[in-house]
Amino acid sequence: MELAAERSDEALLVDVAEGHAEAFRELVGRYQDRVIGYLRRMAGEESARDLAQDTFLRVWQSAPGFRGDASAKTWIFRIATNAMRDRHRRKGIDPLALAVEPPAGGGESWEPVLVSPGNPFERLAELEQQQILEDAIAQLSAPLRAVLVLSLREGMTYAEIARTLGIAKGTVCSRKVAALAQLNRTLRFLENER
Amino acid sequence: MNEERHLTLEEMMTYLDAELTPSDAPRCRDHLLACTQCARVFESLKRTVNKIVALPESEAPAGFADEAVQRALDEPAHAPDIEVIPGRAQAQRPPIPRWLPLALAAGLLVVLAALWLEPNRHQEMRLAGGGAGESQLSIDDATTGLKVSLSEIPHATQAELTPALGGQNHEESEIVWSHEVASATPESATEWARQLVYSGFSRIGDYITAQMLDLNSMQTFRTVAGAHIGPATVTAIDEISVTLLMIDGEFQLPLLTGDMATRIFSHRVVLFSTMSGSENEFIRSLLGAKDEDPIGVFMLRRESTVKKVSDTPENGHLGRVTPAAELNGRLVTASEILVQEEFLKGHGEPIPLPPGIFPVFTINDLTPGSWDVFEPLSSIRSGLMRDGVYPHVVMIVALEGDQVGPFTVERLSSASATLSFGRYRFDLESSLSFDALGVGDEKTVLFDLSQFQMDETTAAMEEALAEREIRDNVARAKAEMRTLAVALESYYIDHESYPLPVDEYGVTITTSEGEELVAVTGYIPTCLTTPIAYLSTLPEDPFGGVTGQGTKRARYRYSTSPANSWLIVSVGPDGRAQVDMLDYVERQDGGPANQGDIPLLIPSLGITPYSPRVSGWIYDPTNGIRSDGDIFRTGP
Repeated sequence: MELAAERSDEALLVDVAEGHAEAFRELVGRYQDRVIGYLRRMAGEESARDLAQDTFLRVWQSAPGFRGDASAKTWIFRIATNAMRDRHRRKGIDPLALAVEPPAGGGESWEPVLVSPGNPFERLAELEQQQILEDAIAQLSAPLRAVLVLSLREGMTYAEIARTLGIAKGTVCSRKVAALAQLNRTLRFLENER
Repeated sequence: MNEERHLTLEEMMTYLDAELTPSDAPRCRDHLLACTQCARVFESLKRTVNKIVALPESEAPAGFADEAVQRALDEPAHAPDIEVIPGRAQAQRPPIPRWLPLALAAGLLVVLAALWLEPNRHQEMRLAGGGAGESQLSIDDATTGLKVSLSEIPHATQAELTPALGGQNHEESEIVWSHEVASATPESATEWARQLVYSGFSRIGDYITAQMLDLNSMQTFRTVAGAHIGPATVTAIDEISVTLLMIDGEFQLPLLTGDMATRIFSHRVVLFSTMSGSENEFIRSLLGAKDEDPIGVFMLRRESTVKKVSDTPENGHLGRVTPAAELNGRLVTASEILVQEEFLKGHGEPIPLPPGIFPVFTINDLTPGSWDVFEPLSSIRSGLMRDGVYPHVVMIVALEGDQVGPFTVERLSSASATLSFGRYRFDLESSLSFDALGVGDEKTVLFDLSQFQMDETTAAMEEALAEREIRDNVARAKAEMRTLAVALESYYIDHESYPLPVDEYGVTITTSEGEELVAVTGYIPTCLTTPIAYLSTLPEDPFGGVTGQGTKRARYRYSTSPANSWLIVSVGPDGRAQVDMLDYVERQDGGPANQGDIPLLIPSLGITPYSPRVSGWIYDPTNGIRSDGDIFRTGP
């Protein structure tokens, strides 16, 4: 009978907790692209690499404290979020705090963007579309952006996002809607501009 | 959610994200189907979401992982705090993480359940056999509350454990006992070993204890190297396998994570999972499947009703899940399904699922949603679950000839399967090969049975299948009549008249000479297929088999006024012919010839003396799927 099933992230974390470098390397390999992707969008290209290194160092140091009450993914992204937060906090601001939460339910409007050959956005080359979208995401405030990225790029559920960012589950949805509505306005602006 | 008002963006978002409660989702869906304004916004929202999802992935810079590992190694290691009694050099290890038993061993929960049920039982064991070392080892770990001492006595290892019964933490207790299997003879040892599952391990200093499930007795036990399990001796335990020595050789059991083990534990009920190669192989061996045998994984939809049955001060709520109904006593899933409290922390709400979307879980995704795989015989586990009805999907692994819920797998290949239930047969195309997911092999295939609600009684199931068959047949009859209509019109172009019908013996029915405008009624004639093939074969009325003509399938009934018009009739679900083409009626004002006659059905033609009229009952599914009446088509 064949052995060695692929180990779960959680099982790897147990070994990381025991100081196994190979397990740690495996875990970094699994998460590095995603963590860097998240941090690039959240903190910008320049800081992303450093923050990601910080994140994994914290993973290494904190692994014995991993209780398994969240998934490894949520845990790692929470560490990444905190790494980013801490860096800003030294400057006296919490980048993920919102002065005013988007109103729950019905606070946002949405004008559908036309999907027609005439829509300038649709006419752009794919790469250009992607760049515009990335720029629009970058313009979102960090709290909205974090929810959007964790949800749509990391595929996290509302509960997972709530845990990662330390916000209420209900807030996740209102922030996500606010983020998408803002993106939609950007895309509509383009539609009208051209 | 109110039908009257429009949906908010948040409602759309939660619906799209499958985060709505099961009660809200149908209303949301219905509104979207009915309201074009909301549907437009929803589509646009979805498109924006999809664009973001489709953005390219980031990549870490080269050398990133190396740098991370180097930085980690430059940090001091974590200090372990296990007290080791001298006698043998012990590797120092950190405390066993508190969560390990939870994450690894759903099976352990079975033990714990047993503990809760028999709170006064003291567990102690003696393990025979050597090989477990020469020393004493004592662990008294403040973090985990685990108290274990292991000491070797000549030719035996004794483990004394002090389960802290009644404590809040599952980790406080550990039980080890050897496992007697009276029924296993040496001849059947390998067969027997196939029924063992290695579901998790705990390290106790240098020792590893293995969590085992015995599918024969449905017992859970924990063992160490050197112990006897039934006819086998445990020769080795490590993190990936348990090796058993038996009279006919060695047998190696791969480690299955607790979740997966629990699925297997519940007798061929597994959830869709990231089955790794060895798990797949294990399932294969568990089922006794040969390498070339295809394995079907059948996805069934169920709804379970969760009811809180009692509160206990120790465990908080004691949850119990009971399926709405047992299915003929054969459905292999739980009669009582419990929810593990740990999994629900931070997940106070039931998992909201829109209709038609069901949770799919992986081993690593042990969330409250995975409650549905928990196994009935383990009975009650502590849990918190809101009252409600929870849709979920059950996966049943089966080979050809096996039972899948109420169905028998008549035939199974890696591309298709035929299931039977009573007189009903279903051909299924495979939805997915597990190979496509990089898990399992190409012979392990997924079949989607989620169209059937599996919590129905046999009678309800029969009725549901019968209705489904009727719906299929109505659709088939309508399609075949369309084909026949085309053939009739082609015939007309060549012959300037429609063909005359035949009687039940195939003899052409003719009109008497001189008689004009007479409608003739019989069956579709073979002259549509030969000598000129307006049709390749003559279709048969799917409802014809239940007419008074015994089991012989009947052709479609057919009437014509050869120069002008025609009518094709299927007798419909009631099996009786009721609709007929009226003989030419003298009235030309367009009104019905008699009360109850159905006037012309093709409005664009208007009523002329030569147009067909039908009289009788017309099948209308809004009267009930099984209602009386015929299905028909007229032309031209």
